[in-house]
This record gives sequence, C-alpha cells and structure tokens, in this order.
Amino acid sequence: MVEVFKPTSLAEALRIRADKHAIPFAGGTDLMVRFRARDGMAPSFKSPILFVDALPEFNTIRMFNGGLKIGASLPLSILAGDRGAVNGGTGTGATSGVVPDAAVLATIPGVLKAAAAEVGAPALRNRATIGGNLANASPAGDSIAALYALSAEIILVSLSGERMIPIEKFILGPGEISLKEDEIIHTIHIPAPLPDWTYWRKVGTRRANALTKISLAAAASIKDGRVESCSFAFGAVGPRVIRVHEIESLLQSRFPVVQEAKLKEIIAEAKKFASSMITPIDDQRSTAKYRKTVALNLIGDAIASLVEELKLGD
Amino acid sequence: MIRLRINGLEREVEIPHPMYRLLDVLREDIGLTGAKEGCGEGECGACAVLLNGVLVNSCLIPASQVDEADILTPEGLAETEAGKLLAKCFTECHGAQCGFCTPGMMMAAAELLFTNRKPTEVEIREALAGNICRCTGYDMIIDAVQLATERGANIW
Repeated sequence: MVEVFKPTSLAEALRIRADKHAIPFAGGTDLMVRFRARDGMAPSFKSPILFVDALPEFNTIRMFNGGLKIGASLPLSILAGDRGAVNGGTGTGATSGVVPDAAVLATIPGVLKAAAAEVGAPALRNRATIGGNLANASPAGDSIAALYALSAEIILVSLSGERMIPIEKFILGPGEISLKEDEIIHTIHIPAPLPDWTYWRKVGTRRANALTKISLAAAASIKDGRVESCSFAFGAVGPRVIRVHEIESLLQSRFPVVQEAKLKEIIAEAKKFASSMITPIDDQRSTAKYRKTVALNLIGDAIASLVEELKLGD
Repeated sequence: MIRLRINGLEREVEIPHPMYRLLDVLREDIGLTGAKEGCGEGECGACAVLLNGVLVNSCLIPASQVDEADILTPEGLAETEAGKLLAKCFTECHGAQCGFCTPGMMMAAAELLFTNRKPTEVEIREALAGNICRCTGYDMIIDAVQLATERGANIW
C-alpha cells in the first residue's frame, strides 16, 4: 500500500521528497485521473505521495520587486478571480485557508487570469493548482501558455537550496519537466514590469472542460505610445508552447502604426514568421490545418487589439 | 482513521487505503448516496459536494488529504432552507429528468447563490458549466436556478 505524507513544514516536505522521492500532490486533479483504477476504487499510485497543499508558503501570492510571486499550490480559481479575498478565500485547493490580499489579486496580469478562468470548470479550478498545471506540462496547458507570455521563472526548492529556471527551460516536452527527484515546484515568479496590455484567446469545442485546440497568449509593455517589449506565445501547436520572438522584435521596431495599409503589412509579416515556427499535428481534438489557420488568424486579432491599446494611450 | 464534519455531524471513518476517495467515504462508509460517480475524472460534476464551503468534485479527492474538513453533501443541503427552495424550483421548472445529475447541479447552484445573490444568466451557466446533464435538460435547469434566485432573496 502506498505511503502518504502530510508534512507540516517546508523543511519536512523537502526531507521526505529527498528520502522517498514522493510525488508532490496538491489539488490532485491530474494525478487522481492519471492513476485512476476502476470505479469505486482508490487510485493505484506507484510511488509515495507528498501532500504539499497545506503548507502556507505554497499558497501565497504577493508582490515582489514590481513583479509577482505565486505559490505553486495556489488554486486556479483564485487566479481566475472565481473567488478571492471577498469570499474569504478559505478551503480552496488547500484546506489551509490562506486568504489572498485583494490588492495583490488585482495585479494578476489579464492573460493569466483569463487563461486560468478557462481551465476546466469551477469545481475543478477550486482544486487544480498553477504548479500542477506546470508539472503536467501539457502543450495545451492554458496557464502554461500565459506564463510563457509573461516570461515566468519557476522557483524549485530542495534540501540543497533554491533553483530558478525560465519556463522555456523548465518545460522539456509533453509531460516532461526539469525537476530533479529531490525538488519541489515552490513558486512561480512573474518578473517586473507587469504588462500594460495582454491578450488571451483559447479555441476549444465548448466553454467548459474543453482541452485547447489552439491558444494565443500575448503581453506587451507600452511606453510613450510605443511597444517597449512584447511576447507572443502559442499553445497546442507544437510539442511545447511556442514563443515567436520574430513577431516580438517586429512589433517593437515597427510600432506605432497609424495607417491601415501598414498595419496589414505588419500582420502579414507576423503571420509569415509564425507560419514557419508553429508545427501543429492532427489529433483527436483537431487537425493541423485547422490549428495553423486559426493560429495565424489570432495573430491578426491580437495585433489589432494591441493597436487599439496604443491609440488609447495617446 | 480520519475525522470529517459531514452535514454538521462529526464522523470518524476508518479508511481502507490512504488514497481512498472522499466520494467513497460518503457513499460506501457513511451511506450518503446523493453524490454520485459519473465519469470519475472530474468532468461531469455528479459527485459535487462543498468542502469547507467550496464546490469540489469528491471523486478526485483523497479523503486522508481533507482530514478534519467540513463537508456538505446533497443530503445536507436538502435539509436547509436553501436546499428546499432549490428542490421546489427544480420541480416546478422540470429541472430534473432522470435525476442523476440533479444533486450535483443543486450543489453548484447553491455555491453560486451563496456567493452571488443575483447572478446573471451567463453567470449561472458558467457556475454550472462543470455539471453535465445527459438528458440535456439544461434550459430547464437554468430556469430553476433563476427562479430560486428570485424567490430566495432572503435566503441567499
């Protein structure tokens, strides 16, 4: 029978992780399905379980040097704004009842909030966590695409200390992450500056519980009516989320744009860059052709939205 | 041995396996069969209960993880003013057909109304999005929640 651990401190959790190589378990919405047995039976886990949801440091969200630090066990419902400080925020993914600060919740970038809000359905988001979404490392993971757009860094902890790694290096492939056997995903760091404009669009078969066919997450910092920095990240069109850096430098060098004709030209150029980089496949959810067509159309939609934002800033 | 407060009563349960599910504790050990196993994967909402006041799918929760928690099941909800009102509104609007999804629908509706006293139709649909009705009687279910919103002004 599988061993189960409920550490009461981070130090204890790290020791158990190192000694037993136990699987960190927070909301369990992926793990309980992956190791599911038959109806009416307990799931059959192969390795020991380490419950990390009740540790307060995994459940906090706070400002850090103008950016954000998000605990790995924070439920997606809090990031999505389904519930927050208003409702007490208690007993969410965790049973620890940590109440997030409303002022901090208000700084969550729109792209992450919107992506979290489109994962599963309310009951699932109350348990599903951002760290779990990362650990699952699906190319269609919605919060992952948003975190790519926000250039997030993942903070991993072990008995030997802390390791910070950019999300592009953390996700190695479908279901594969750079996590050593003694490490636990501790915090997601969204570095400053938090973006002035963000874009999120998920295409799926229905509103709830739909896995993504294709998604686009984008963010930009705007200064004096110009794009200072920006990011465009596509989900579910390759083995990992794909950031198209050529679009980013294109927009940084070419904006502001006023004439419609010029805008069309820029969108066409952006589509050309994306077209060579994204490599969707045919699967049970969609076809490569559909995914590519929609991905390219989303670029036009996102750039139009960015242009609106630049106009408003004038 | 774990301790849970289920529908206001303290219960101690001997679980046969450390990853034994909350749904099985409720159905097999306590005999509360309102929460049901539909998909067993968190997609259908038939097993919905409130865990410390928050809507969750009990098929995805190891009972040992939520030791000491407060659980409200469809049976507990049915005893409350809110539950009685929801049942009446579901009946009047023909919101229950085969009835398998109904307890979960009512748990989701109750959580919504406890936190949002005047939801819009869009908010109701969003709140019930994780509950699947295979009889596809969705519109009547939405009608029932809207009726409960109007009639329950002093309850929610």
